[in-house]
Amino acid sequence: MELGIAPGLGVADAQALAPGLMVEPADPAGDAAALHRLAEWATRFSPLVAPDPADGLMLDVTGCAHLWGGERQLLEDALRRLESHALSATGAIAGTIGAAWATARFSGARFGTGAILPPGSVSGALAGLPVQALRIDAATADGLMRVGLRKIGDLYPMKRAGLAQRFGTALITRLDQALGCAGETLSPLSPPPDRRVSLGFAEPIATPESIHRVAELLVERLSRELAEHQRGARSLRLSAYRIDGAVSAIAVGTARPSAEPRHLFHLVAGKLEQIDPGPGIEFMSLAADRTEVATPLQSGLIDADESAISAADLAPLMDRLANRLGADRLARPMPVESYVPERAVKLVPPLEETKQKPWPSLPPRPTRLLPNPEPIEVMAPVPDDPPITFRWRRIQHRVVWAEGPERIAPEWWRPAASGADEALETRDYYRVEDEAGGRYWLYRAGLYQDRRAPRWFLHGVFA
Amino acid sequence: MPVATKPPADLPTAPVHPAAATIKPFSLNELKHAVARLERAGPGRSGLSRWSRLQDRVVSLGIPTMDTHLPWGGLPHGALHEIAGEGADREQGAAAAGFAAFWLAKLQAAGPVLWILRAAARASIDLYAPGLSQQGLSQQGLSQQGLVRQRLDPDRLILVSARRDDEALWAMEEGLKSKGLGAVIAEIGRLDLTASRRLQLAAETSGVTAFALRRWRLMTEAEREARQPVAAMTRWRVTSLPGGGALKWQVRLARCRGGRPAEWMMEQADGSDLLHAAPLSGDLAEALVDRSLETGAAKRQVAG
Repeated sequence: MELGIAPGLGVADAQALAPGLMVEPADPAGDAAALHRLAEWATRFSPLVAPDPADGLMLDVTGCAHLWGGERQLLEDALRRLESHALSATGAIAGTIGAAWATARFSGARFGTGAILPPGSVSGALAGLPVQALRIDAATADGLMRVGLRKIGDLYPMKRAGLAQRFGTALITRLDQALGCAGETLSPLSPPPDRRVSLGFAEPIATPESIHRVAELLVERLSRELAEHQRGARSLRLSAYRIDGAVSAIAVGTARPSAEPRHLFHLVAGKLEQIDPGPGIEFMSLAADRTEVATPLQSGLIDADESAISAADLAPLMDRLANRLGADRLARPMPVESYVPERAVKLVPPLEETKQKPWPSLPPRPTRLLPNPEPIEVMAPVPDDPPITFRWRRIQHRVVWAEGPERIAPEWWRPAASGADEALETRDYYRVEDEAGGRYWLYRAGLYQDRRAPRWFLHGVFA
Repeated sequence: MPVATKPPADLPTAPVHPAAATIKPFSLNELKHAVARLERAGPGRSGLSRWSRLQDRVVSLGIPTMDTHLPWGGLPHGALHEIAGEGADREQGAAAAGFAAFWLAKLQAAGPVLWILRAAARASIDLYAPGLSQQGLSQQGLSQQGLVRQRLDPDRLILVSARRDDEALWAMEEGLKSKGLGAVIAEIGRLDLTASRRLQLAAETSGVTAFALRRWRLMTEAEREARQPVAAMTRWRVTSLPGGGALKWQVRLARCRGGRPAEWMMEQADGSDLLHAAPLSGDLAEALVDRSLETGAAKRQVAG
């Protein structure tokens, strides 16, 4: 920069000014990704972090500074850590986003240093900064310069209406935001967690035992906090901030709000091995991203619904299974009013509270229903009769007993799925028994038609 | 080993071999513990009390010929039981699942049943709840209202799909460790001695009853696996028999810890909801065994 190299300069000109200058192609996407990673890293200071493209980070440190012993210490710690990752940065803490932005970029602070604007000093501190510090576009800035308004302080005595008319309302908004006359909020990387606890270490930790221990401590503290506020966690995120700047995190969910430390720790512990300590972890946080009011579960004096599954007892087990296998692998069968056998059952989440519907009383149904009916080769004497023999999975079965048909008509009120939907054909079901004692559920698809061989399927096996 | 084959109910007062009794006056107690430990086939802490507790918690099928043959008067809770079809799964698997459903229907009184299926995803689940809910049997009236239906209630069934055996075994152990379940059943292909011991121990500790429902894709796999030793309290083999459309099974108790193997023919009497079982093998004495056990079992049901 001392040599006069600035953005916008041609590569050839720049190389002429500084022989031996290294040239790298611009990579906006890569820069954005790196900034995003840096923003994740910065969540160690505050859960509310927003990347400020192309080269800034904005943190809402309201209520966070005391953890570092004050705003000064927080800022110094942040800048020191950035420097240790070979990043040159300046910083500022101020009462408004605009003031912090302007001070960090335009106060002429050297890299590695920062400024703090105490409350009440904002307008004075900004007065001496160039108008570019107001986050306005280049055209507006140029226009202001042309009429001699070079410093923010020059704008203070101007008539607002006139400014707005001449330079647009954006300028007024930015000015008001910087001075705290208009509100502005960050749009953070991730919504702020409801509760968060964290722990920093003097020496980086890396062994599974110490990670385990820290997780235990964090869960204990979080559950205590949750319990105090009578809330229960629905989802937890354990983040490990590594000394190389990377963040390794795991997330778990619960079926019902829980503040029970043993239960929560069990869930977290199941995934702890996924935390990659890398060269070492210097800071860990546990956030309850989502919490709900925890109503202590009580199995009422009169059991209203005896057949319901007791959620209180089973929630911890369901959570363990869901977090390891995936929630989609747990289900509870529910009856559906449909004559089509494969549609008569719906699988719902196991602990979902649904109105218990009675299971309809049906003619005999198989214990095992094949997910896809399998075509079989059949010998039937008369088209409308059950078969005498059938071949299923390369084995010939001779039918010694048969009952049927049970006609299951297509559900005409359902819209046809794309193409030929098998479920939309009339089916004639037969229960048959073969010589060996196997009992099967067969059906003939479609109504009998001339010149067309009927198609047969095996759909289930009876006990 | 005569002591080991006695029904465990007799253990505290069981006549001990004279030689054992004469060596040391206090060896009787030690022997009892030793036997109890052997019976449990695991490192024992308080073997005997564990046994007596098991005695209180037995599920009976309600078919006297079968219940009385079992040394406990039914299947003990908090133990691992194995049920398999005879041969490959596709034909005989449904009968084995149906037989399991009979026990599960009884155990649902204590809590929901966790059924761990072998399925890659929800869409490939082949267990059919409407069919399963038709399994179970009625019993001659304990209440005065005649037949009491005891069928599997799909509302108290939690399905877990496991892609592999190791997932199924893990889920089963987790289920057995937790409270509030009536029983845990897992469809398992390969089960070795170590894994089954873990399950048996987990079941013993929590008191939840465990069923390993074996499913083998191929005949060769079935033959190989069926011969493997498994640390289960009982091992059952179920085969469908021609029954004119009605339920009819050959049920073989292949192994029973502290009891004898036996074989029955189980069928649903025509048009009725009642099941009967007639012994196919074994001596007549088995069928006409002391009735006190049976009445004992009946009393327990009344109490339950």
